[in-house]
Amino acid sequence: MFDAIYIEDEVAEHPRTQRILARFAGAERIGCRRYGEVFNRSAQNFRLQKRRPALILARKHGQFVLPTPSGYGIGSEQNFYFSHMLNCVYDCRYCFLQGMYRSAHMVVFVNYEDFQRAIDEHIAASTAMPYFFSGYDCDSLALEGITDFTRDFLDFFAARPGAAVELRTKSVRTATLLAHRPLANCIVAFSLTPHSIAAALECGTPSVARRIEALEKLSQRGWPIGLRFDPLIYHREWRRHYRDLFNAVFSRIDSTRLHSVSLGQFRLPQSMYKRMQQLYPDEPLFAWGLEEHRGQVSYRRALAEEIHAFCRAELLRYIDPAIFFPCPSTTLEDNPPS
Amino acid sequence: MHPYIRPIMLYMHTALPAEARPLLDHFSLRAIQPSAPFPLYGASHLRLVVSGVGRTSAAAAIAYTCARFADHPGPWLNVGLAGHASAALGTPFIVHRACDPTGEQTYYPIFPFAPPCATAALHTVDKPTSAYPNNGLCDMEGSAFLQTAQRFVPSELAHSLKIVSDNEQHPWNGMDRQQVVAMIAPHLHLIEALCSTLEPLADAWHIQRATPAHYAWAVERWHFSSAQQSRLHRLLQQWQAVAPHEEPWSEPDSMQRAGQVLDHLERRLGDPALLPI
Repeated sequence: MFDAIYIEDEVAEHPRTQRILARFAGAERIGCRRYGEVFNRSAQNFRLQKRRPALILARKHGQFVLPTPSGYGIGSEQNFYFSHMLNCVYDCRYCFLQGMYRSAHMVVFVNYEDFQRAIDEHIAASTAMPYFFSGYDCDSLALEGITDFTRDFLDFFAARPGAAVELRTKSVRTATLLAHRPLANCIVAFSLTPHSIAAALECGTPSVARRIEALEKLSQRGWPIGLRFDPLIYHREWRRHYRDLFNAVFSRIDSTRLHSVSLGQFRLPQSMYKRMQQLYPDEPLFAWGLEEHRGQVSYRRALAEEIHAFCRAELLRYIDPAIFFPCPSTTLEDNPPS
Repeated sequence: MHPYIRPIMLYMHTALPAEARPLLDHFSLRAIQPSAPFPLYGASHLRLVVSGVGRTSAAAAIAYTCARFADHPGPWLNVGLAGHASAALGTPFIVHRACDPTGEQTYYPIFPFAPPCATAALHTVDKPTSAYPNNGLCDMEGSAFLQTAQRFVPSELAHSLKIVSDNEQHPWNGMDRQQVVAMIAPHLHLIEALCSTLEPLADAWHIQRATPAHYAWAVERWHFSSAQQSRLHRLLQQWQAVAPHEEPWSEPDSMQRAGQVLDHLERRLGDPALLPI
């Protein structure tokens, strides 16, 4: 999977580094002082690098846990995210990571213990049940076979029932979860788009059918499931495709056992959008029906309203409004739809 | 090939004329410029510059060549000899990290492809040395080559191929022209493989840099401010992505001001009839 691995000098002897390296005996090992020497350099081209990204093993310094942007939440008022990884093995054309980082390499911060210490500090300081989102800058499960992230963090959160964690994923690497007793405070959230959009824009991801199969198994096992219809993509026959998607999901899942369902518009900070459009000037997704509003790029208001209203109405045929968390785009912020 | 990109020009650099010789013969390169400031050779889509020894010469030669062929940017490949503590003479390596003589500046060529031979770190020094770095190559130009080339192309498109010319068992003792040629010549297939690998990457890079269709025509026809030109460039790129076979302005004669032209195009980029996916 990775033919080249950059290793920060500081973590070369870390046990987690050693475990990961043992899985890639044939990979070229390249030392570096700090991961930023490789990852943050300006003369890089994300689009070219995405063809064959390398792995970078590093130590995270500074802030381990950060508050989520406003509007990002699934019921709690105290929402945080942490990123033990930067970047994703999948190549979803709408993903903001393309515009956020210069490099497509995968960074794994091996000092999980420092993340866990920081999470404990936030739990101690919280006045309400805090939610920690792990899949903000990466896919929580996609590299599980390499990082053992789930294995390490499930036991950690099992001992902290006063806090919740969301694992956000498109991956079907659920073996660790299925082998573990379900945790009421661990939400496994799957990102889903209609099949035609996944095929066109989500390169390298498991099919939507396989994702639905995986979430069905987890739900049956007793894991709290989140459904993330995010981003909504305006496309030909979008009504039929979204209706079919919802039908496919809810014909397999008992909606009374869902933790939460969220709906998100295609939206990007303008600076990230610009970088992504420069990387992929030939990509129609970045070209049609968009507008900038308050520093964010999203579908034009009429389009955003139309797709949001439709999907909202369709979803509410299946689910209790109490578990529905829409995330309207900025083009709808001045007068959000109810 | 994408309709708006030009054929890829590929650039090579060597320090010594003898290192260039097998490349000139193999790729049938002819002199474009025999000497000052740098000997420069070319064929239809290939250029080769010979810099002379040392970091300053290498940096100057790369910068000079890039400036001279600024309209045809393309991938760069450095080919040359290097020392290595333990590797057998004649072993080829592609550089995966290069340090300058101070050890402070480090450059990382990126491999969006499977390297066609082993890779190694490179230490560039300012004076010939018999002290070989641990498990690394040693030369006198590599870090400067990468530092300069990466100012003109992304680090995915600038690479250095080194052939081991000396090691602890066989320290550097000078080499005549024939010996240098004999070191490089067996690896021409690697150089060809690298060139073939870099070409499609350069294609993708050129797509990102291409001037969209209708742009030159529009700036000739209407007066755009600098900011409007940027907007026009982006909108025409978007237009090309959405409706590559349609004219962006249905009735250009009806529009007098640049603002009208841009607004019209922006409106059309939301036309449901053009929904692209």
